[in-house]
Amino acid sequence: MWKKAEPDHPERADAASPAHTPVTTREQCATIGSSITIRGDLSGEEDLLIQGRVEGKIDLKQHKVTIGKDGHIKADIYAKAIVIEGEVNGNLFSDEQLIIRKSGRVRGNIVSPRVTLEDGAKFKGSIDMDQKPAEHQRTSNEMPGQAKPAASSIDQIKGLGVRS
Amino acid sequence: MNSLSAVSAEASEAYEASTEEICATHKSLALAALCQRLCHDRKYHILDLGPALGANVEFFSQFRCKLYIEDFYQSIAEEIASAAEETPPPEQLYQKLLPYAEDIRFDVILCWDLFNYLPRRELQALLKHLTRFCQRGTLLFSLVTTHHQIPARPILFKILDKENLIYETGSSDLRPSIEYKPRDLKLLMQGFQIANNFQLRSGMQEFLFIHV
Repeated sequence: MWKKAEPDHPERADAASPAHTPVTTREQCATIGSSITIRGDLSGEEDLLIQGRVEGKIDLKQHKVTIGKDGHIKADIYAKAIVIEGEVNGNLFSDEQLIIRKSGRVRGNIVSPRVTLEDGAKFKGSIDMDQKPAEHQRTSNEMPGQAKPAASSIDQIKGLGVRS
Repeated sequence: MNSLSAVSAEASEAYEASTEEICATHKSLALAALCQRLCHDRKYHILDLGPALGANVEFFSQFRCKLYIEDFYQSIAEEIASAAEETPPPEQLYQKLLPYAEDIRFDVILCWDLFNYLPRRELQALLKHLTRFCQRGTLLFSLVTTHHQIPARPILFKILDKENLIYETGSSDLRPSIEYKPRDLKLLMQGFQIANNFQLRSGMQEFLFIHV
């Protein structure tokens, strides 16, 4: 007689199933909107899209960081994968792959086993494809290069869920 | 206004926007000679004074290397355009644009066609600065034109493979070339010897210099 209401979003119900492997799409990751400015250290346990301004340090070592076209970053970024479509002034450390799209503008030093620059991308700095980011972190202070690591404030933001 | 300002006047107007691209593939014997000298079992420090090009990053990724990309011509143009007062002397400017730790030593320096765009004094200052970061065996790759006219701004050289380069010219605008002769280069490249020298049908003379 009483029927359990169908879930509004069947895929969310499926997400509870152990067999379901969530596919992280751009729409499903945390987002920092274009009107947001953050000064400090960012860390978290999910993929992140940044369309706003961040000054400090971005540390999502197990996840993907995307700097959107409206993103303006003055920070070092540590991530599993990094995609740059906006502007970055800082050092980038990726465990797997780093892509600078044609709209991307980067000044800084890159450490990543794979680096891809699309035609039209702007980059100035060094690219080290031979050193693991974990090793390089210990020596990052000794690296020559145009961009120095951005200063971090005392603020720390964890568990991102910031949306514009 | 010194001769570096001429770089700024041309570069700032049209460097970003390409109204007309002209592409051509050319054999590069000096690039082939350079690659023959690179092994896969050691790490190289490569200084690229040209702009960042995905094809070139991809090419050098086959070697263990740290690639320093400077886009030097554009950097000069931007620096001169932003200078409030008179352009600083070349020595000071290059120290600012190419700041490296004293213990850095490059294995390869890619000058591409930069020599064609730097007057003698500026080129001399650049080479003096770069020599500080060279060691015995450092290779310097350069393309010097034999034409009286050159593209208004440096050509983009995309590495297709170990023996071929794609020349991309942003527009058909031309300017007079500086026309360095081999004897001029011999005087300028103190501390270097010519390891390989090839005259190409394109009118370019390719040089692979080696620091001794």
